[in-house]
Amino acid sequence: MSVVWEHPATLLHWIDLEVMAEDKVDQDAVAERLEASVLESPKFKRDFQTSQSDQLSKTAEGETVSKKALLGDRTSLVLPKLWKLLPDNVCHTFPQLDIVPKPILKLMRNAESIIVRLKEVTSSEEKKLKHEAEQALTSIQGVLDQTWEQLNTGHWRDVPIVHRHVFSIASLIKILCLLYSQAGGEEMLLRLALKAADMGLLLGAPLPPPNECLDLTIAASLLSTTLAQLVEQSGSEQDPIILDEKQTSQFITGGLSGSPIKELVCPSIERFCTDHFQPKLPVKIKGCMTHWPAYKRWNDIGYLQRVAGARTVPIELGSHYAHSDYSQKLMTIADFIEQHVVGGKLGYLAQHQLFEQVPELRADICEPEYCCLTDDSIHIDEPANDGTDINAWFGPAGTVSPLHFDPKHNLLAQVVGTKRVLLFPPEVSSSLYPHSDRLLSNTARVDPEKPDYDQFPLFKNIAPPIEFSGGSDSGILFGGNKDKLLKLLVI
Amino acid sequence: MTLYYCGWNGCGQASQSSGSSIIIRQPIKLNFDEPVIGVSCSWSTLAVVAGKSVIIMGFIENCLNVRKEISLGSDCQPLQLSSCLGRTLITCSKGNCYDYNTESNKLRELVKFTISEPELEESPSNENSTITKVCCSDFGSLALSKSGKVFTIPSPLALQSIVVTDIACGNNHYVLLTENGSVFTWGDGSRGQLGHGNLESEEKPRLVEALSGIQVLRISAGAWHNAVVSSSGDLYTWGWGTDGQLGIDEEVEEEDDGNTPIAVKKLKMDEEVSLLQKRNEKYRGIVLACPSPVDTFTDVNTVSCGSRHTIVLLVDGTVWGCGWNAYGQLACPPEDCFRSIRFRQISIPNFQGKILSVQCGGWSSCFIV
Repeated sequence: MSVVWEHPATLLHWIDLEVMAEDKVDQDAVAERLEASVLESPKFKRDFQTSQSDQLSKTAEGETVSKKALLGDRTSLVLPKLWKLLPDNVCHTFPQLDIVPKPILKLMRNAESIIVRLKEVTSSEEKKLKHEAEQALTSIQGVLDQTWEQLNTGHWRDVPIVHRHVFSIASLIKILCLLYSQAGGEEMLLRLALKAADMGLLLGAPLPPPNECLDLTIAASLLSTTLAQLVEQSGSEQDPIILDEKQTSQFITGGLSGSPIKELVCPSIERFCTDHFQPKLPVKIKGCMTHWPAYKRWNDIGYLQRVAGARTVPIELGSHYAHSDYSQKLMTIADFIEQHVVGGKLGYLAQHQLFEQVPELRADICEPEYCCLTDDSIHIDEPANDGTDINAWFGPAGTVSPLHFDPKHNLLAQVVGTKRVLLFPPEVSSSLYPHSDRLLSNTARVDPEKPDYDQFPLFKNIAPPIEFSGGSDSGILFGGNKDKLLKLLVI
Repeated sequence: MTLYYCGWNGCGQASQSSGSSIIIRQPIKLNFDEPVIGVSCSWSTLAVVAGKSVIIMGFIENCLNVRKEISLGSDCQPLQLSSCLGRTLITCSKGNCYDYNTESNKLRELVKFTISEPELEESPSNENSTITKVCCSDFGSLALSKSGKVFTIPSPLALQSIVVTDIACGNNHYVLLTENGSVFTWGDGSRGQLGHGNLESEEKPRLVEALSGIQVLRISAGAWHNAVVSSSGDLYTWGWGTDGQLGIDEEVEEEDDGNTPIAVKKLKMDEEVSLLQKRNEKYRGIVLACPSPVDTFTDVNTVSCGSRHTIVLLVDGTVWGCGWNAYGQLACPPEDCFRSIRFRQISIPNFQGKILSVQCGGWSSCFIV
């Protein structure tokens, strides 16, 4: 698993990245329709069966038991915190609501008023409560599905932001509806609620003041923590996963090999700047990550399971993103680990802003101070300025990113496992045969591991690339916008 | 002529009684005093021509579960209508058309839009302004005149010497059928919905070349997909198959290497069903930027697309649907089948007669029997 910091080279390139990122979200949106992806997961099926048998045993024991279990204990604890995230009257006060089709607004407000009533309900009305929550759940799902259609009409970047605001609000209402609905066991409802929060994070947008307290990152963290406690308590936790040593060390190298990259141990910023950043010379930096909590914690896959296992993320499937078999799928990190990281099926959690989605994992890493350098004027900024994207890359052995360049400078931190990277200087770009269509114009058609010299004869004559091959505790700088690079990854 | 309805009822478009279900899982009979002549459904309304009156149900004037009857005047027989989120357009026997705004509950006649461009003034005959069909979407609406001219209301579309016989609107793309059976598309193409083999948008109608040589008789547009029927009864679809609405199952299976289609045929019935169910669940969606033929049981009579589903009426009188069924739009409970990537047969419970026509829209399907 690795972290990449992308740093803006120039404003122009930064805009390029915006465009790329947006096109990418389109594909996320394609994958969004897979409501069933949680439902179909083996883990979910087990939980569902367990929850059903729970309910059966309850009815067998008689009414007193089921009454007591009106809302799960954990759910009762987390609900007041979730309520704090829903601003009063949000469905009447968010900006530009006049652009939202009236029936969508109406159904959203109805669902909101139903759950507000439910908050005050007494146990004598519990049957009505359950029915109303289920009705509100269906309506709010309709709102989400219809808003999804709005989000996908026309190009993603032309869609008014207000539809994404609606998606965020409706996601929080859906979470509350789910928890009140008792449509299943507590664990299942928490999982579905967490999925709704993640979908809201992926497709929605944060609300401006005065509704900024509607923060789905917090909702997701609350639900994730609650779920983890519940799982721990019920002992239904999955078996710990120990990675086979061979899996992490096995390397398939082929094609051309490069000259080894220069290595430094914790250079000063000044030295890094003058010797590498300014002349755009790649370097491997050792010893600058040992203090990261992630350095120890992420070795244990069980830790990732506990902290983020139930979170839904986009996974790239297929050989690599430029291949015709490429597609994306939304799945939980737990399923991804089970099927891909351990199971060995190709699949890549790639170029995803995981740390914005899961602040618990963000707390495990530290932004290297080398990130404070920028191109336009080499001065020392406050770290973590707006222009830096932090992306996570996580996958099984054999995952490949094709030869490409990024609009921003890259700082790659290999936390767990090993990765091989080939770096070509910008001058040889044309000999790498970039794709002609706009979306893939930053990606080479040559596969340096299996170069087809008949099709790409110019590739034969270029100088060997710089090769980085390494495990954890090494940082590396790429002159992002000009250098071409290849990543070959083993978790 | 009786109307059956299934699918989304979240705005009370099919059933206004309190406590009625948001999802109508199986076709239910909707009662009108007079025979049903035309029907159109959107996400928020159901509009029906019954006898001489137009009935609009669903979300009207900021209220759910409303049923409104509109009169166009005693000498005006409504013929055809089309609904989207904000409005319903209605044509009538006199050749004029009306715009009913569901948000304000106001009806107005659309006038003069046929002569707003000077080039058309040279032939201001009545026939030119006789509107025979309207088709609306939230991004812009079309009207078709008797002489085969098309208007993106209110302006005429510059289409030299092409006589148009039918029109259809997607979410943000448009389809035309000409008298010689050619298909033209324009609008947003980002999800392959224009059928030109790319994902580019087109500002003006462009011939769908992949269909040249095929005489098309029927056209229909969903939110991001299209379905057309040729004179030989073949079905072609293209665009974004989010939920299998293209009726084409192109997905490469990574795991089921041993299960080739031939092997599937030999499986017992229930095994086949469960295998299909699994594939339906795992479906990830496809984009087809070129029209592709779809295998159907027998020749297709006509086709209608909802937002994310497609229903065909075959020449043998049977009805089949594919695509999204989260709200029961394929006339079966979503619990049984959330989406169908292949056509599955649709039947109306307790009804043995012939389904005369199918009209899909939004997440709903209407059957006229």
